[in-house]
This record gives sequence, C-alpha cells and structure tokens, in this order.
Amino acid sequence: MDHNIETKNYVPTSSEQALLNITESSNIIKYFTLGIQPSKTILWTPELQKSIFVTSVQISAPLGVSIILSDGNMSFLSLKVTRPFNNAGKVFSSPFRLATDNSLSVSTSDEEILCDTFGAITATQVAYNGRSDFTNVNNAIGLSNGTLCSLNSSLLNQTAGRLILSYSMLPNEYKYLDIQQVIIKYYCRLNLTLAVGVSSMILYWRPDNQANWIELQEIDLSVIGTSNHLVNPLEHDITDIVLEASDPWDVINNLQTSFVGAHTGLGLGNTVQLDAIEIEICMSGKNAITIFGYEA
Amino acid sequence: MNNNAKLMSIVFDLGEPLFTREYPSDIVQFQTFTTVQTNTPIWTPGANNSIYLTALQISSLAPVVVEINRENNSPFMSIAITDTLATYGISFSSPIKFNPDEIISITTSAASTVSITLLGYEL
Repeated sequence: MDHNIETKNYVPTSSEQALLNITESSNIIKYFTLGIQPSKTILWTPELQKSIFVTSVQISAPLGVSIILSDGNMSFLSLKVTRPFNNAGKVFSSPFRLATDNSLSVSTSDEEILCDTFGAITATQVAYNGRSDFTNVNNAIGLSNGTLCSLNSSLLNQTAGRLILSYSMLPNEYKYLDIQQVIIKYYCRLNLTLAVGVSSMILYWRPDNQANWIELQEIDLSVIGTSNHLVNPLEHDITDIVLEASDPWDVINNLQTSFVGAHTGLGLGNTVQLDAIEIEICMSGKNAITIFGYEA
Repeated sequence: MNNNAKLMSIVFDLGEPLFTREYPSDIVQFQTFTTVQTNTPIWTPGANNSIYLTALQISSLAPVVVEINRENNSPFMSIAITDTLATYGISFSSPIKFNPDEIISITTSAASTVSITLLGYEL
C-alpha cells in the first residue's frame, strides 16, 4: 500500500487575487461574410440582461482590408490583412466581455480594390448591311498596342462590317471577390478625307453570345475631319447592368463586345479603325469573419 | 495498489467564485486530401455527444481556401492559404462547443494537397 494524500485548505481574503482560470466553453459561433461595410453592422445581439464574452476572433480576406469590431459604439479591435488571401485572428486568454445588453458589430475600412484590364482573345467579323469589309481583324485582339484593323471606303460599293470580340476574364478566385466596376474602353478612330455620305462607328456589348446587342454609342461623321480615340479611348461604364444580373460573374465570364463600322459614301480615303476593346474590372474582397464566445 | 489522491478545498469569501474545469484534448482528427472536397466530414461525434474543439491546423501545398462547416454544412470558419507549403493554425483558450451530434466537415476551393488537424474532446 502506498497512498499519497495532500490536503490544502486556504481561505483567501477579498483583497487577494484569485489565481484561477475560467475555461468556460464557447458554445456560440457567429460566421459572416462581408464586403465593403463602412457603417457598423450588428453581428451578435445577446439575450436580454446578458453580456457577450468573446473568446476568439478570426478573419480571412482575399484582398487587403481592416475589419473593426465594436462593443456598442466603442470600437475595440481592428484586424488587418495586408496580403491577398490571408488570415488574421486573435485568441483571448481572458474572454473579452462586452457591456451588458450591448451588441457586437463590425465595419470595414482601407478596403483594397483590385483592377484588372483585359483585351479580347478572339476577334471575328460578321456581316453588317450585308458587308464584311474590315481588314486585319486579328489586330483587334489583345490590349491597345497600335496595331489596327481597318475599314476603308471604296469607289464602287458602300462598305461596312461588324467585329465581335470575346474575352477570358473570370478570376480563379471569383467566389471571394465582389465586382465594383466594369468599364469598356474602345480604342478607335474615324477619319474622313472625302465628304460624301456618312461614316459611322457604333459601339456595342452583350452579356452572352445569345443576347441582343446593347448599343452604347454611335459616332457619325459626314464632313472632313477626325474623331480620334486611339490614345484616349471611348469609355462606357456598364457596372449597373452587370450587377443587376442574377450572377454578375456569369456576365463577366461570357460577355462580348462589338464594333460596327460603315461608310455610306462612295469614294476612296475614308477610314474606320479599331485598335482594341479593353475591359477593366475592379473588385473588392468578400471577407469572412468568425466570432467564438458565449453569453452570461 | 498505488493510489494517488489529491484533495484541494478552497473556500472563497469573494463574491463570485471561479471554477476551472479543464479536459485534456484526447481526440485528434487528421486527414489529407489531394482533390477538391465538398462537405467532407472530418469529425463525427459519438451519439448524443458534443464536439469541443480546442485547436485546428491546416496546411497546404498550394494556395487554397478551406471552409470549415458545422451542421447542414454551413460554414463557420474560412481559412485562406496564400503561399505554397503554408500552414495556418489556431488554439482556442476556450474550447468551441458544438451542439450534440453536430458534425464538422470541410470544403476546399481548389485541388491541392491539404492536411487538416482538429484537436479536442467530446462530452
């Protein structure tokens, strides 16, 4: 027989700090995804007469962001992610106790906006008014680079053509990104050295290859002169229409642009030219936040 | 016979006595995947038991986002791994208590060699 028995009787005075840990388990998990959130949004409201005890917090963010947690109106923790697709977290060895009946809310600031510009990957010509007269169609592929496809007026026939450009723009991580802005940039030029008839450039886009073309702008010229947008492109913001779609990323994945050129006059010397149609997409991150804790 | 017994009686005259109840993390769940996972169960507790999660770690050969799910495969934590050969881990000072019979599962965003470790206990 070998018994070891220890007894310890100890009465601390009230002024003395009790050296004991609470390890109450955290039975409440709050998980949210949030984009740009400038105002405080309530994540967690405790039951009446209770306080929230936060035991740990974790965020993951696809782009740089500051996520700020608040106890009622008082902010108490700012978590920053500076590198793309990263995490930040805080485990409290002593739970953070919010004031009784106060809600825990979240807001964001310093949101990184990522902008990418894409050129077309394919360019094809289809008939416009029965004509397909653009030459060097493949020069419309890619970003603006000074290589042009052209539609020249001719001596015997009216000339015209429609270029259709397709893109490959869906980011791998699109599920974690929100679209902030979509801009189409048409790098084109209309030059008349002969004033006969009307020469036109018409700019279109559509959300997929079955949809009707949406006209954005028509530029007509019937007097000698130039409408030159080869350096400073004609820009059209289609953000609102893209965001109205049931799946905006589906639009980004399938959209096409189109450029129509036409000369109604007969005679040599007039030209419509296209360098590129670029699409600029600006995105913000869809952040995920988890809060662990309990109420008491 | 070899008995070790310890008796410790502490009497507080403080307003609110504080009690410690700590359990060891006697369960380790470890799995490695090389393909995209959708709601793959990692930890199924014994009948009527709750999972108490005390720590977790994820490592990956390639960038990936791992969502950790609870009941009905609803995510409760999202972990983004940016780099190749990267690790993310978190130890909870207060164990995360799940509802009885709640399963923890994971969903990954891309194919990569992903290893996940869950530490904790069941009660």
